[in-house]
Amino acid sequence: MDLPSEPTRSPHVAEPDGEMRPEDLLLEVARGSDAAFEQLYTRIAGPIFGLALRVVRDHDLAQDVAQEVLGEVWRLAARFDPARGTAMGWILTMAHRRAVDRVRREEVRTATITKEAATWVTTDHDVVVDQMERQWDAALVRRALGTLTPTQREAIELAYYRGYTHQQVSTVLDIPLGTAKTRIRDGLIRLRDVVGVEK
Amino acid sequence: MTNNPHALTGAYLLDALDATERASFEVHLATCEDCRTEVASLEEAVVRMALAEAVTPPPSMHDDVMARIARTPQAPPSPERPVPLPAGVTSLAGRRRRAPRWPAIAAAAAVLVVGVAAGSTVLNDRRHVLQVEAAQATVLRIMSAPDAVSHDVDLGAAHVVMSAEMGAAALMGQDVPMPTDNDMVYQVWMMHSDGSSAPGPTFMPEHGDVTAIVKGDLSDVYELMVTVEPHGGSTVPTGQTVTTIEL
Repeated sequence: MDLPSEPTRSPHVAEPDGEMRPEDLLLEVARGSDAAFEQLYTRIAGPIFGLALRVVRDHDLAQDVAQEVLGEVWRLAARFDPARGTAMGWILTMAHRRAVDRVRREEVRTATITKEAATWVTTDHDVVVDQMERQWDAALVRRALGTLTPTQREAIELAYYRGYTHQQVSTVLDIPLGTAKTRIRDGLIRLRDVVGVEK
Repeated sequence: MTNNPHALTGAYLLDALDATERASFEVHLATCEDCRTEVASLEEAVVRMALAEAVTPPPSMHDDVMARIARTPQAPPSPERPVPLPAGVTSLAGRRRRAPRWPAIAAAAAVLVVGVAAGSTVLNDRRHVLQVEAAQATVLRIMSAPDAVSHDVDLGAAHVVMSAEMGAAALMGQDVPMPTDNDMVYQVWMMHSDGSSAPGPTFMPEHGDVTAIVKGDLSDVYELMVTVEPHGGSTVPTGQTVTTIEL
């Protein structure tokens, strides 16, 4: 097993001594440093792979997506602009978008968006999970999600974990489009506030 | 098309917008400071959701990725990087705000609307800013035209929105590969039913994103075609056809 060097937490949590911030590692990667990429890999491969797995729900496909995204991190490192956000934000946005694009392409092929979502499975990775790595964030996110109204949580989970568009969220939940948008936004605002307080 | 783009910050952050909506929201984001502030403030919550999903990848992935990067050339810093936000959004000189992700499309639109290949021309900032604004305004107008229709384009994840009334079409997309030949650019063509063709702009992917604005009489155009052409574009199609879009 390829053990990550240490739990990946927040881009805002102070890094332990000797650990470079992802932002600084990216800067080194942009200058072509394999060594910096190695270090960055141990920090981001788990979150990228796990996120892809959660969204595409297929081990091989998730690995495919994760490899593409990691390749893109290397290729586009020079394009990261710290003035526009955190390195983790930049990387994980790329990962989520790539995973969602993959799911939507598959969907077009199989045309499967129906009301079956009422029975969706929320935890379905029976793969080896590095508990240490995700424990802290997972607990925080679980608590934060727990403070949402059930309808907000449902909308956010369908959008983020299932890759549904807000149109699809509104169809599946049988609510007006405007309501779907509002639930997603209000839910995220709530999450932000809870996460902000706990930090 | 949504009538209140401000409500879309959450859906944008969760990638719950389709390609058209995302492109249009990014255009909006370029001119709406409130939305940029909100997007920036909500991003951390989304990062947390992602981090909470971390799963140790198979050990083989490490070697595969290292092998991949060993053969992957790195992109230079993006051409829009030193370019400030559009005038009226933020001062030209200083004050960079956190405005994740929107500038790619705006910069691409600006470069493409004048029909030059991205990266091949150094535009001065002021001209660039004006072009960004003009391109954003055009894209928004096309999208909100009463007769606007959208067609998928088989080139990455792209689509074209056109309005015959306006005599304009916007080709937008993500994940568009670079032309296989390094010296070539993409070019759009308007194909008329009498067999003649009219040249449209050339374009190049920027982070995989493309935006190209086609202007002209579209009433007699039965399809749009994308070919690869030498830098600067051609007056008649000479290169390989990449895709055709039946209208």
